[in-house]
Amino acid sequence: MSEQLVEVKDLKVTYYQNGVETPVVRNVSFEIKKNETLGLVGESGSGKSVTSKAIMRLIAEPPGKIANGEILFEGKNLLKMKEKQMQKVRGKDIAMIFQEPMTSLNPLYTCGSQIAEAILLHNKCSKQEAWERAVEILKMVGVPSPEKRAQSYPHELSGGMRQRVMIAIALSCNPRLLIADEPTTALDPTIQAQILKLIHDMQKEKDMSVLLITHDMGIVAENCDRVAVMYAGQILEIADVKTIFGNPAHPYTIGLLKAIPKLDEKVDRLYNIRGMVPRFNELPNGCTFGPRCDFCDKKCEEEAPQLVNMGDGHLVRCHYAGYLPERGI
Amino acid sequence: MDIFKKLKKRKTAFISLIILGILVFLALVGNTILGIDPFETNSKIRLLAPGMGHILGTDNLGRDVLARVIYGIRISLAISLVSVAFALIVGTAIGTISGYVGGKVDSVLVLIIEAVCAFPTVLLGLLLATVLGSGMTNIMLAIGISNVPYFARLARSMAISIRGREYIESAVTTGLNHFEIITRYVLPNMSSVIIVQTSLSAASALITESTLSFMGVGVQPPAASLGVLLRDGYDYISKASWLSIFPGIAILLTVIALNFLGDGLRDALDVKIRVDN
Repeated sequence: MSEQLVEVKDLKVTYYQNGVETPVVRNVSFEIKKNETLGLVGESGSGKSVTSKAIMRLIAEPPGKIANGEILFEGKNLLKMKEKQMQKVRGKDIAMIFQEPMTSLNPLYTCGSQIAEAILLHNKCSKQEAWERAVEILKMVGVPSPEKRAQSYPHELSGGMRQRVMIAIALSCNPRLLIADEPTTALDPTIQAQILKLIHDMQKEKDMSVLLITHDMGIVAENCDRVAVMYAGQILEIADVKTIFGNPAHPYTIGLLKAIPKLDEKVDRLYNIRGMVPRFNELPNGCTFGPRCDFCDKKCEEEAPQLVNMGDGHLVRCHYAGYLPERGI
Repeated sequence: MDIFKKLKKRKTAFISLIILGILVFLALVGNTILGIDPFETNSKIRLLAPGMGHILGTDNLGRDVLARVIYGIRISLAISLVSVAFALIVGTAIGTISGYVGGKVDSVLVLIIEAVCAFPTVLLGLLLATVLGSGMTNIMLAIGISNVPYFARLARSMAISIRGREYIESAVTTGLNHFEIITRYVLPNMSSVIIVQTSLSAASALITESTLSFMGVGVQPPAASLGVLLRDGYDYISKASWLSIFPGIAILLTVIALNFLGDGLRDALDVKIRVDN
C-alpha cells in the first residue's frame, strides 16, 4: 500500500438549480497522506464543504449528485459502496466535526449517551463499557469532571465544551480520517486555539489524518502540512504549507496572502481582491478567476487553464504559473 | 420529573390535570364505589328530580343519572382515547415518513392526507359510521381516521424541520442508518408537539363522538356515551332538564380540562423555556 490514505480523483459534484444541473465542484483531485493534515481553504461557496461531504457521501440526492470521479479510501472506492457499507465507514473510518457545535448535538440526550451511542454502533461492548469509554474520551479531550459532564445535556455546556464533545464523538471509534469542517469558526479565539491544539494532539496520539476546512490562513499556517486552495469549485493551487506561504504561484493565493493584515506594517487600507466570487451558473469560459485577476489576458479569457506541476507536488491552475514575477508581481 | 414540576406552576393546567384524574378515576371505579348501577330500571321512580337518594335525579326509565353520567364518561373517554391513540400512531408514522423521505413519497402521502382533510370531521365520521355501521369499534375507527391528518401534518412539518438540523447530519456521520435516526433523533425531537396535539385531539374527538352519538350513528344502547345521554335527555328537555344538563356539563368539563392541559403541556415541554428557567 502507498502512504496515501485518501485519493480524490477528478471529483465532480452537481446541484440542480431551477432545473439546471450546475456543477459546484469540478475536476477536484487531491490526496491525503497518512498522518498528515491537509488544509482546504477558500471563500464561502468555493466548494470546500461540498468536497468534504462528498467524501462522506453526504450529498443529498436530489438536488445534489456526485456526477463523476473516484474517492479511494485505503484503495476502496467509496462512491461505489452500497449505503449499508458506507454506514460502517462513517464514524468508524471517517469521522466529521462541524462548524456549529451549538446545534450539532441532539438536545434530548446527555452528552455521555451520545458518545456511548457512537461507540455501541461500531463496537461490540456492553452499555456500561460504552459509557465508561465515553467518560474516558471526554477526559481525553479535556472536559473537566468528565463523569459529571457526561450526564449533562448539550444546552448546559458552553460552545467550546460542546465542540469538545463533538470531537469526543468523532474520535470515539478511532477513525483513520477526521474531517473538520470549519471546527472553530463559531468559537472565540482562545477557545479556537485550544480546540485546534486538541485536534493536533489527538491526531498525533491516534495516528490519523485530518482534512481541515477553513477560510482562515492563520489556522492553515499553524496546523496544516499541505494546503489546497479552492475557488469556484476548483482547486487552484495545492502545495505543502511552506511553499504556499513562501512561494505561492497562483494570483489568487498571492491575493489571499496579501489580504492578511500584518502586525509590523502600517497601512491605510487592507488589500482586497477586487470583484466577487462568480455564481456557479455564470462561470466565465476561460479561467474562473480571470475576471478578478490583475494579470488576466486574452488567453486567460478564452482558455481554461489546467493544473501545472511545478515540482514537489506543487500544482497550480494558471497559464502563467512560475512566470508571474516577470509580469510584475 | 422536570415536566411535572413545570406543569404544577401553571395553575389552570394543573387543576385540569386533577379534574381529569378525578374523571378517569370515577369512570373506572365510580359506580362500584358508590354502589349504583347505570342499567337498573325502576318504573316507580321515573324522572325524579335531583335530590337525596338520587343526587342527579333519574331518567325516563328510572335509572340513576349519576350512574349513567359516570358510565357515559367511561365510554366517551375510552372512545376518544382509543381513537386518538390510533390517529397518533398512524398519523405520526405517515407524517414522519412523508417528511423525512420527501420527494415522490411525500407528494403522494400529502395528497392522501389533504383529501381526508377536505372532509369536515363530523361529516367524515358520519360517512364512515354509515359505511362501517354504527357501534363502538367502528365509531373509534371513524374518529381515529378523521384525526389522522392532524397528526400527519404536524409530524410531517416537524420531520422536515428536524431533518434539516445539524445534529441529524452529525448523526449520519457517526454511521447511523435512517431507521435509527428516525427513532432516536426525529421522533423524540417532535414528541413534545405530538403530546400537545394528542391532548387537544382527545378533546375534539370527545366532541365528535358526542356529536355522532347525538345524531344516532354512534354508540348503540344499552351502551351509552355522553352523547347518547344528551340525545336521550333531549326528548325530555322541558320536563326533566337534568337529563341533558349533567351529561352536557360532563362533556364541557372534560373538553375544557383536556384543552387547558394541552396548553399547559405546550409550555411545560418547550425546551427553550426549560433553558431560560
